[in-house]
Amino acid sequence: MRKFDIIIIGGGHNGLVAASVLSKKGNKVLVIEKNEQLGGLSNYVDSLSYISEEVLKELNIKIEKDINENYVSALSDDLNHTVLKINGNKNIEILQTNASESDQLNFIKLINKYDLFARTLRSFMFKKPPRVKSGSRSDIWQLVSMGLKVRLLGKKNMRELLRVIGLNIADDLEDNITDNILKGLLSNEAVIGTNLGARSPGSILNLLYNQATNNSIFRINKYNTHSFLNSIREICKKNNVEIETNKKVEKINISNQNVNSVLLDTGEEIQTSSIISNVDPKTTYLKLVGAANLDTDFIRRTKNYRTKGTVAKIHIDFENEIKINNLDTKYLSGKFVYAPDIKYIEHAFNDNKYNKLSSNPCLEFYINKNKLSANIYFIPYLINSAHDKKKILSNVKLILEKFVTENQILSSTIETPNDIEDKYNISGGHWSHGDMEIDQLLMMRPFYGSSQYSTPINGLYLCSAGTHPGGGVTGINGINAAKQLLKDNRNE
Amino acid sequence: MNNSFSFTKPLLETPFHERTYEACYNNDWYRWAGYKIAREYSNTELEYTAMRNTAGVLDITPMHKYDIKGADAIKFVDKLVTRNVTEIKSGQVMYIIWCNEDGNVIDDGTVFCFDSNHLRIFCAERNLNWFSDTAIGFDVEVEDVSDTIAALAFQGPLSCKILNLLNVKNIENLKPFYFDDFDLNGCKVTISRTGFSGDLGYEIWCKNEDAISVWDSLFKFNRDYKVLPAGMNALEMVRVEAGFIQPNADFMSAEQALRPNRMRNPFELGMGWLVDLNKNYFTGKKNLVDLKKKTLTKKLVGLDIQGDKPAIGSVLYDKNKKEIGIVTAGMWSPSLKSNIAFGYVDKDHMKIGSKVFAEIYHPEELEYKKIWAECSVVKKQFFNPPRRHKVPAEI
Amino acid sequence: MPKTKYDVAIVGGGHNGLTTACYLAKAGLKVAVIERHSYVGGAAVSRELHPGWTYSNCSYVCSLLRPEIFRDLELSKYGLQIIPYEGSATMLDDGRFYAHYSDHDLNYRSIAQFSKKDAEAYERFGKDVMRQCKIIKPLLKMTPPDPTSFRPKDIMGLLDFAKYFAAKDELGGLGEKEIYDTIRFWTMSVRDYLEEYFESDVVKAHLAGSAIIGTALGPYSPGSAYVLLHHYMGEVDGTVGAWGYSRGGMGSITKAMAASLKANGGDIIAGSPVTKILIKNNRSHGVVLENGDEIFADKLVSNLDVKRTFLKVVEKKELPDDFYNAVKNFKIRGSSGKLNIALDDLPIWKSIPEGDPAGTGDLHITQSIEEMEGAYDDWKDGRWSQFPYVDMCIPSINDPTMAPQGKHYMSVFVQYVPYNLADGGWTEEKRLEFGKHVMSRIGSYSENFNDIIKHAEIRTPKELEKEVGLTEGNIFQGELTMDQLMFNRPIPGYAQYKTPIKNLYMCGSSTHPGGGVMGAPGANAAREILIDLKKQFNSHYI
Repeated sequence: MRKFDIIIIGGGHNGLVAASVLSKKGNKVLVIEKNEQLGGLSNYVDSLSYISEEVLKELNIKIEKDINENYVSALSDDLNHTVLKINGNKNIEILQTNASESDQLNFIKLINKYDLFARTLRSFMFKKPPRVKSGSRSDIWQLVSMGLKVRLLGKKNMRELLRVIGLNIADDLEDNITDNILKGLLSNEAVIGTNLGARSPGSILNLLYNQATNNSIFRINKYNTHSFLNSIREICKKNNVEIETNKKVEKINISNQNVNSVLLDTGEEIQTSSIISNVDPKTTYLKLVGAANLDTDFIRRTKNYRTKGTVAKIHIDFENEIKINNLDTKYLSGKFVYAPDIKYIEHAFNDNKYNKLSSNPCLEFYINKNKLSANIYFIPYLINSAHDKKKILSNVKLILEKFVTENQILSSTIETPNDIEDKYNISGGHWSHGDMEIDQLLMMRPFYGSSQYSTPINGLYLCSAGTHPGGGVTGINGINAAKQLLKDNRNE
Repeated sequence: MNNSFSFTKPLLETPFHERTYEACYNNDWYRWAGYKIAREYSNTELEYTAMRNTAGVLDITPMHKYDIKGADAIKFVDKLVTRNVTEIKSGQVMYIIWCNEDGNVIDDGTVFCFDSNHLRIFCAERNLNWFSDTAIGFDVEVEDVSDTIAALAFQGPLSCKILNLLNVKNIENLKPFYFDDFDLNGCKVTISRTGFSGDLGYEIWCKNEDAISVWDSLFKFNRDYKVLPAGMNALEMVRVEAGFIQPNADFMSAEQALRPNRMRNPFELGMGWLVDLNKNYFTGKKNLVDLKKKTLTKKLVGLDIQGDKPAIGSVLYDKNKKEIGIVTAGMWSPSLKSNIAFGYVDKDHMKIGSKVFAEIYHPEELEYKKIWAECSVVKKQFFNPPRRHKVPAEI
Repeated sequence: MPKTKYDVAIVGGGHNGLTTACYLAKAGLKVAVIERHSYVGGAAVSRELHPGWTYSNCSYVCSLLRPEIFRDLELSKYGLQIIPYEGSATMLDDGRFYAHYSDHDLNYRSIAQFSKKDAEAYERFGKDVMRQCKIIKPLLKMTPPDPTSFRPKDIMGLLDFAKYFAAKDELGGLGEKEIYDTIRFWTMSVRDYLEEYFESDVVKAHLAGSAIIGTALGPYSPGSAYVLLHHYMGEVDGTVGAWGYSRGGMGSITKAMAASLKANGGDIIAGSPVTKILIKNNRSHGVVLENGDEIFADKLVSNLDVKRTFLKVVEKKELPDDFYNAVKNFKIRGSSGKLNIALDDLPIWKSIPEGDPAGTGDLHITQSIEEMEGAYDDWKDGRWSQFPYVDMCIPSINDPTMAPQGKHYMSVFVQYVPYNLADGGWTEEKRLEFGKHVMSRIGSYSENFNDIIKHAEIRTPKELEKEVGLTEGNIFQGELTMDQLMFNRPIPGYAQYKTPIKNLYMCGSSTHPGGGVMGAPGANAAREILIDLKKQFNSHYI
């Protein structure tokens, strides 16, 4: 029987990050990936990604910054599109818009406000979340330091933070700006990938979380996902991490609450004393670990953990290079958002609530010559029925036809949350491996008894987006999980 | 028995109701799991005496009964409970307790093994949700069959003799904690040698439609051997003498406690002997391993109390009048001629022979008298006659 | 009017204003309550709008009124009696109904008709909610500490708060798990929360009703579980979560308060709408009435909601810009309608048999949480709900004073109804059409309802605003969402019943702990005023 110090289940970006941290310390590490391609869902992130600089520093990776300036274009039905230029994390410039002067001013003010709050939250993102009443001194210290950090914002800002954290994005937008496109644009960032509408309390918190983990409110940064993945792979290679693809872990064998080995679909059993699972918490516990090894209360919480995905992906090949009507071609390298107003988003969200396909979905897309790939939401994860993909395509087509004319669609592929579930083994096909709502954040992520990357099983750790700080291609989950494992091994 | 839903009838009637209603001269009913059960038929002392002298008949139909069926039936129960049940054989009964993740006791009960694919759990509290959630990942079906099975406890030194007179074949050779199918006056019944009384006794399980016939059979020899129906008050007496504790009386079930510190782990209840930490994983094991290493801060013990005034609800003190616990159940035991009780004591008074004091408020003609009574800590099992375990049983 | 000067004048004679006034008068202050209408009571009133019938035409049932206030103000002596009622029911389209009974075993059997698992889970749910009620109870009486302040009072307040959760025994030793449960309960959607316990639609819908009453949230919105708690944390004689009728209608509560106030030497100046609060050098010192009269007082307390107070009766120039804008952005949304109906006879329900105690409490019309969320979708789009959540009760069954013999009064609460209709606003025709819509909904569940209606008062949020003065007709004087609770209520930094204007206080439901006929905001405000005056606050209320 083969034997490894540490086995990582799932070669998503967090799994690979964990592998590179652990292999650096001289551990013999094996990564097992179900698919041909490594990277998991991070392959979904188009061209530009939002890897945090802290993670790059931690891993000692140097990758070229993408020299292109970043643009975000919010498309409008009347073809008076709004275009933002993003220079760095903070500097956002409105290049063209229909909004009034005061709207523009207030919009930038809002973004700066969120940026300030996100930076405060950002310091919590890189640490393991403190548990309350655990009795551990480091947890207490961290709770206190979190409190101090918030206090350092000053009276006025702290009050505002404590207010907006429970607020919905629509209210804050409507209190400050009137332009529908700008409101839609920011709402898009607050609700995409969630089970929240713009009017759902908690949508601002989600926005701040995105911004804190990605260091960018529009979730775009200067780094290329693929070069990031390549760099990690190289570290892994250098440190002799073995990576085996096209193999699926069927079961984690456990004896006496200790990790023992993994069983592959090939029938092979590989021995190990430590496992990091990059698979989402629900699948890890219910399928890999199995209920027999877990307390009933814990199973209840696992079952109640909410993981219904809401975003589908579509890749479209057009006949010719894609142009957007009434938009300068130099903006084509940027991100496009079609979420023309709050009501539109809210209606798309309404359908999702009842597991219905929205006939007027929101889109977020990138263009690369004649290729277009878009996130479509809200597309519900269906339990007992199948998606009508033709209908999804025709809905998307109806929207794109407003902006892309004199061009033919040659082919398209759609991946619904159900497809994502099948392909990447993610329960519910959820982007973030579970809803990012207060009751599933921080020390409560994924749920009580499984926070701080540890699990009830000795030697088993979680590093997926289902842990703090949640989704996004940040790599933080991977680093924190690896650190926790190393710390526990040292203490033994 | 008319159990169709109506707002005018909040309580269900058991299949024995026609008889229990007749016998219950006092018309004093207790609510047990939504059923009407006699608290006292005519005289608690006599009902108690019947169980210790001849035999008493208790309607225990309200007991919850859950069928566990499927290939993983034994595995499921093993995951549920603290004891190792993997070796259970057909026809065997085991006393079991189950805990939540913190290692706090949810309930106790018995499990009957029909075969390796079919077990049945009997318990006092409702557990359908807990069992169903525990069943996730196991190849089993959990079904609540409570309403389909009628049950009587037939307890007392003459219980075997009377069953023998009723031509229940080979009943005397049924070992304690075993069960089998028998013919009782033409009714197919399941009889187990189990019970709450801590004495020789049986529990008889039958179809609802056979209930009246089974009841009548047990009283057939009443001319010679006075069998009495016994109510809940008498049951309370025998169960305390026998040292049996009860959820939501001696401790709060972990599924039902409002205040977390009202929950109890098996060690605190003196049930450590039921916890097997070397068996396969079961809910609560992780914490029970830790708890076993810790010193107990409180423990439920038996108390032998000075005087004859029942101490139920009394606060317990040490000799310096510092509060150390409370009494959960207490009574004057007619068999032992002792004032016995269960109570929680702190870590300095758990040892057998320790002395504590109970402050008893006893009503005497409209005035409460405060009694300061010395108590000795003793074993909880106050009453345990040899006839209880004898095989073959006394005919 | 003689020019008397008061120690404290309270603007608005709602139940909170009267509560504040009573406590202050009991402490020996010279107090006046200035009320726009010729009667006091605000939204807790009994009115004879059809001869012979008494309508509780705004609030209609009582549970949240703190018993300590009842006791302090000796409301029993002044005629108040609360009648607990038995049961409630949810009627379904398919002719079945789910009934909730106070009898534990009967209730189990009632739920078990839909699901045995749910019947059992209800006990676990009840226990968990009860624990949350125990946790929140002392918080209701607390003046929320300001987390941004370094004043000893606030730091002690925060420590008290932390100590409370850390306390070993008070709450039976809350552990990590229980604390997370509290956070979960306060932030989750009621749908998600209930799905952790129940499987059957009707049981979930029946329970979720409490989470949407009066709020501009749907049952799928995070934060709606808290609203459920807000409706459960009341009690009738120690039975937490129980509701009752106030004998003689909800107005009896405020009538008794007014009597208690007068007995303690307080004045009620009725029929006197306040148009302006007089402010000089950032200090308030009196009010101007509509007729031009002025009333002077050392301290003023506003029982009006925060928007009405600072956008209508305080001049903008007196307020800091930030504060003014925060008030403008305060969320106070009308989402509920109300029908008050005089009935010639008792309605006969198609499903609930006559005499069933479930029929004497709240009756709901809803099929599922999904239907309730759909009703909310309508509201979001500026329409009244096509399938509204309807909460009806017939107080006259239990309270003989509400209607003539053999006749009955029915109160119908409707969720959701918008303050503004998307298609051009409310008109008289639309109001009547709305009423007809609700009555035909009810009519379809009854054999005789349509034939026994003698008179109906139809109230949209507009009517509620016009009559009671609640901005946008919001029954809680402001949404009960996390951004407006505790130290955020009503405005962050002004959660301690004080305002930017010296000597001007707030005591309405806009302040912590929020809406419902509870009296806690009024009592808390009185306590703060008495502390400022260095006077004793004598109360059973800590």
